[in-house]
Amino acid sequence: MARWSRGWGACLGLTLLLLLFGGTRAWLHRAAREGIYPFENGVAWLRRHVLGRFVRLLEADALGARVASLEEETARLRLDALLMERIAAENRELRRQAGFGPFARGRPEPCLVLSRGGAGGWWRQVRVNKGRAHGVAVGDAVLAPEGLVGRVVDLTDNTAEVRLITDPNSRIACELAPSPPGAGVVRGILHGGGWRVGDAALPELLHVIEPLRLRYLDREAVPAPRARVVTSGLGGALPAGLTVGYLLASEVEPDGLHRVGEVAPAADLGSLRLLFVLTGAGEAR
Amino acid sequence: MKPAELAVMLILLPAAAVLQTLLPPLPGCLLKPPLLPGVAVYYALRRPPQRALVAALWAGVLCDGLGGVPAGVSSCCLAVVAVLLLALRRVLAADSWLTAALAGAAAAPLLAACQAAALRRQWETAPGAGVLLAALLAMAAAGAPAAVAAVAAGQTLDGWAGNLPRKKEIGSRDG
Repeated sequence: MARWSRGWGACLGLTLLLLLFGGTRAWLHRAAREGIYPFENGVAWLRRHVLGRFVRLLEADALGARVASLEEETARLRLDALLMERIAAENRELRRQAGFGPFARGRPEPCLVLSRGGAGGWWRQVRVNKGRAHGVAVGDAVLAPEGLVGRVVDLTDNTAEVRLITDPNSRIACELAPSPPGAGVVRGILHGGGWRVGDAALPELLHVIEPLRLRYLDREAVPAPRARVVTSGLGGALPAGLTVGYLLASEVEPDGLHRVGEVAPAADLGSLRLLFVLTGAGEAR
Repeated sequence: MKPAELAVMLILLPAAAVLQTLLPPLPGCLLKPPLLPGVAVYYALRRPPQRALVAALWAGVLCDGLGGVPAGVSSCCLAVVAVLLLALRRVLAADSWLTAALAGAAAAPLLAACQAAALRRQWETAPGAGVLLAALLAMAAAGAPAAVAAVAAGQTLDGWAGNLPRKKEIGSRDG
């Protein structure tokens, strides 16, 4: 018994020692995330390849039509990309003549969502299966095909924590595109949603879709309905021009100094599966 | 250190962490089911003290590392919970399921409160008192069944591994 207690005593002492110092504490927490990653990845694999196939079997009838629709969309996007190449070359030449820097947007790295909310649920964030080893860096923008979903806030070698734009502590510098006529560039700060739980509460309460608030807009500029909200690129935190959402309504704040608008996210944050991390965009900021 | 005891702990803690991460938040609350505190409660009530403290510290490491909480907060909180339960084992019916449920119902909101207090420094927009209170009540309600589930799983695994002492057989009066 004394021999066994010595082993547990050593384990206890080692754990206390590791928790005592900030550096080793941080290492322990990264190790915890890396340790859980294989299990999360396994569940994501099962969900995609086993459950997904089962669902596809049930939806076999609609699958043919969906494949045809996707093929048509792919062909159209390829044609758009070909046309865009000429416009991009023209843009690069004009930027060079005007003395602007290169317009680097980073390389989109595809990644799967492993889990949502972590083990606590305090942060509205998701964990994805790409990390430092794949070129992801803290601060990288994370996008769905429809638009921006968040930013990378923490990393391990194989995973990244993505803080969503709906997190109450999210702040993103945005502007309206296009700006209201005669108003110039209209910029504001997009604040994440509040802490209240939605009325139609589903189990995935993490993603209650409540309007985000675009604050500090020019009071005199009345935006058009459904105006597109994009990142402004100010501060260098995120590249400019990424679609964030659409302005639903706006009103002058009670203090009368600014206008505030409600913004619906462009991406469906309740059903995130495949995301893209914009790696390398920071090198050109 | 008995390898089987370590093996059970290495199964219980990661399993609880993975489940807690993958499960959706509790209804009416933003927080996840408190399975890791439940494992800490199991070890504090049913296993020797050193194992209880090790389990509490590691459950805290997993809570903090996987939950975005400042490092060390959950470990400290769960270690304090473990020490209190170890001290109270003399007066509590540690083998009782009710005791486990009550311990879980107390440990989970305490942990959530400590995490919220630690996160206040990081939040630009902190949750209101009403949201926090609702979260703590939900954690108390979920902590009880989570602790009972963790105790049941722990007892089962430790029983299979032969880590639990056999109950003394009552001798026959006839000899």
